[in-house]
Amino acid sequence: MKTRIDNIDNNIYNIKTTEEYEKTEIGLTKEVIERISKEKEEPKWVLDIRLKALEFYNKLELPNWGPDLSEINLDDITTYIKPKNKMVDKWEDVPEDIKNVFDKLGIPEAEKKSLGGVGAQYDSEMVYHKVQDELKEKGVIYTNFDTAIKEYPELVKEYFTKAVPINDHKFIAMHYALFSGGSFVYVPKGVVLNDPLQSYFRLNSPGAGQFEHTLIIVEEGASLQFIEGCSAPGYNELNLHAGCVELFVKDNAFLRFSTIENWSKNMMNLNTKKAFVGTRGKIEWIMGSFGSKVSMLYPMTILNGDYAKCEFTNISFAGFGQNLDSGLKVIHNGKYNSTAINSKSISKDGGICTFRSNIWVKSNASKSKLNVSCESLMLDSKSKSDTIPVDFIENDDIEYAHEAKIGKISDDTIFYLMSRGISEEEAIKLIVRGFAEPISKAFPIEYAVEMNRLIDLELEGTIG
Amino acid sequence: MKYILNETPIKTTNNFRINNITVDLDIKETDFNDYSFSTTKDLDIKTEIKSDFNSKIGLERDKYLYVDITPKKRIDDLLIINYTFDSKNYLTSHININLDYDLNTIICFRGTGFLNFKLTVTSKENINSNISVVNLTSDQSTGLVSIENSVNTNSNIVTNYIDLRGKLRISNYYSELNSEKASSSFNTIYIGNKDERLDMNYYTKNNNKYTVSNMLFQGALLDNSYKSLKGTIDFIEGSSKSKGEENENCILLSENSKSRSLPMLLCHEEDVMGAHGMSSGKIDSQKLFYLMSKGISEEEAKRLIIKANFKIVLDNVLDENIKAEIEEIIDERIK
Repeated sequence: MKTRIDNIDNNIYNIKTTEEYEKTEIGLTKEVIERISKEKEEPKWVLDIRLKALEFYNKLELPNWGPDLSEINLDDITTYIKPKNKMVDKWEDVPEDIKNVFDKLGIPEAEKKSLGGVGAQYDSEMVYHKVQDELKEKGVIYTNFDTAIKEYPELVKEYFTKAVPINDHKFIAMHYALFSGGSFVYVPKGVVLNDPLQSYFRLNSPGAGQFEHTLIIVEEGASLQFIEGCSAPGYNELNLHAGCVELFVKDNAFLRFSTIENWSKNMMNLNTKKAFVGTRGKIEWIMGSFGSKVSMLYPMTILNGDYAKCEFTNISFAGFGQNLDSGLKVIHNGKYNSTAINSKSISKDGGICTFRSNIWVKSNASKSKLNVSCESLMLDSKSKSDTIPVDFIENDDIEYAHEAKIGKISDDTIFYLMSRGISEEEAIKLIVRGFAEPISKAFPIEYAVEMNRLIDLELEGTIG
Repeated sequence: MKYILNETPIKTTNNFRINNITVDLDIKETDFNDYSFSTTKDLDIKTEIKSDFNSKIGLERDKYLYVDITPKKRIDDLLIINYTFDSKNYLTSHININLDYDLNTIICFRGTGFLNFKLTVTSKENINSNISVVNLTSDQSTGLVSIENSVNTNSNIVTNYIDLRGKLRISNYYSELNSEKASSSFNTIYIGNKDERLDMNYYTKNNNKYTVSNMLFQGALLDNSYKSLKGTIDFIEGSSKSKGEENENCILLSENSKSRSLPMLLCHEEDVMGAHGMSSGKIDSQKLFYLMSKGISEEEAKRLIIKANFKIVLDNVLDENIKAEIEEIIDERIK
């Protein structure tokens, strides 16, 4: 008989600060949008996109599938929060309170050790952005999205909204109406970045929304690893995250896009990510989802050139009160395209994990290969784990294999470990870490350690 | 008139239009004088004209032929039920089988027309039964076939659905494993030719402990045919020690054929084993090469490989004559 102890929520992500803000906006109206745009001193073409998006937002319906989103009431959500200071490129210049939070999350330390550049967003605005001088000299641009609109308008115009259209769905329309902050990365032709860039998104205010926009262009033959981290302290009010990531991986280019998401358990995480990959280009998605109350996240990859590749590695961990609905979409639109999907989920304490995939092999994508593998681990019978994959195959000359498994931790394995003197709780942790290992291996070492720590934290109190 | 039919148990994204099928159908009343219905055994079969037809497919009708089969003792011989109708016919019928004793049955449809058929099977404890529904209607037919079963303790129902021809074919399977150690297997063969359109929605619910569900789908698509297959295994809370597996093998024999699949695994119980596997695409080149190296032509080699896949299901059809009839149609269809 298992007894349940409430989740321990004393981790570093739960640091709360009381900020004073220069400006806040609540709700989504034409006036709010105009004020945000004015505040940011944006050009008219950007305001036009925001207003067009608002029209779509008002017209589009909530999705008729997936988790219940009726709780979201934009009238109650703080849609724009501007901290008092401007964005800086020296940690010393970041205000003390905010700096303390990022210090505790280990961001400056990671920058020193292993990163080529760092961006840090606090609520609606980026507060810090820095890229190594050496990379700047090679023509690498890594800045916040608002700065990119002002300093590289032609580049932004060429790509912005081109991967994810403003009318894709209701929440992306909301995003384009309210977007603020986020990162812009441009890696010129042939430039290979050995150290990853990292953007960290922190949503501090209760009842607030975060709508950052990340746009990454990896030119021909270039290579980039990008890490995205997200966290927020827990509050009773509902927080909302509706970010957008647009990725362009050109011919022969490579992009590894890693995300560790540990939003607080009061967060509605409705993120949209899409990548276009050119001939012989490759994208690797690595995702770890631990936080959020409700998450709907299905990164999309369009393999547009011959021999383009996609690898997708994902782990979701849903605990008490969490409904994590995630997966991916892939379109094969070239010959010899290949996709490998490896998704794992763990649910416990009534948590719901749903894996959804949409795979479309178009009629021109002959000699394509796809391999889909999803595994779910249930730690109790209060939880739920659903696998809902849709495959649309329009070409006869492909190889496609799909397999999914659902299972529990074997009593024999626990018994074996316990007979070796390991406690039941530690045995379960060992088995879950083993289950997650193929995914954690894909993360840089610091993040793999962090992920294992998060798994341990999530399993705290499972056995009594 | 437009109908939205065959809704999936859980909705997913709308982009691939897999949650249901929208069809335009002009359906006339069943003419109860213009079809033939025969059975090979006298089993106290009761027939009557009833109203209020509905099935899991979602198409309701007013009048239909209701057939009730409740064997009073164990039947060793196979029961064969034949329906034959012509192009003027719109046939709506429901066969209800109450399995108090073991019974093996084949239900066959021949002719041309609009078929709207429902089979319900309810088993008592310790029943073993093999039921095949064989749709041999012509390629000009439309077929809506819905099969439901409810399986009791320690019983096993094997259902085979052979779906070979028809311009529009919508089928539904719904199995509830209600008591401990109940098991069901659902095996299907489908072929799509020309512009034929197939929509399949198959669902098994493991409702109790130690239940076992299996689903196997073997298909081949040629020409411009299109199929959408939704297979769901659902483990309800309390279905501990249960197992469920679904496997699909869809061979595309034409560059214009299209295949949509949604193999769902829903799980609300910790101690279960669920799995699904799906493979889609052209015929394994190594198998093809091996057969061709033995002097068999490419066309014949392909046919042999597909027939080998189908044989696993076909072996469950217990009448040799009907099996031969099916094989003849398969040969003709995968030329």
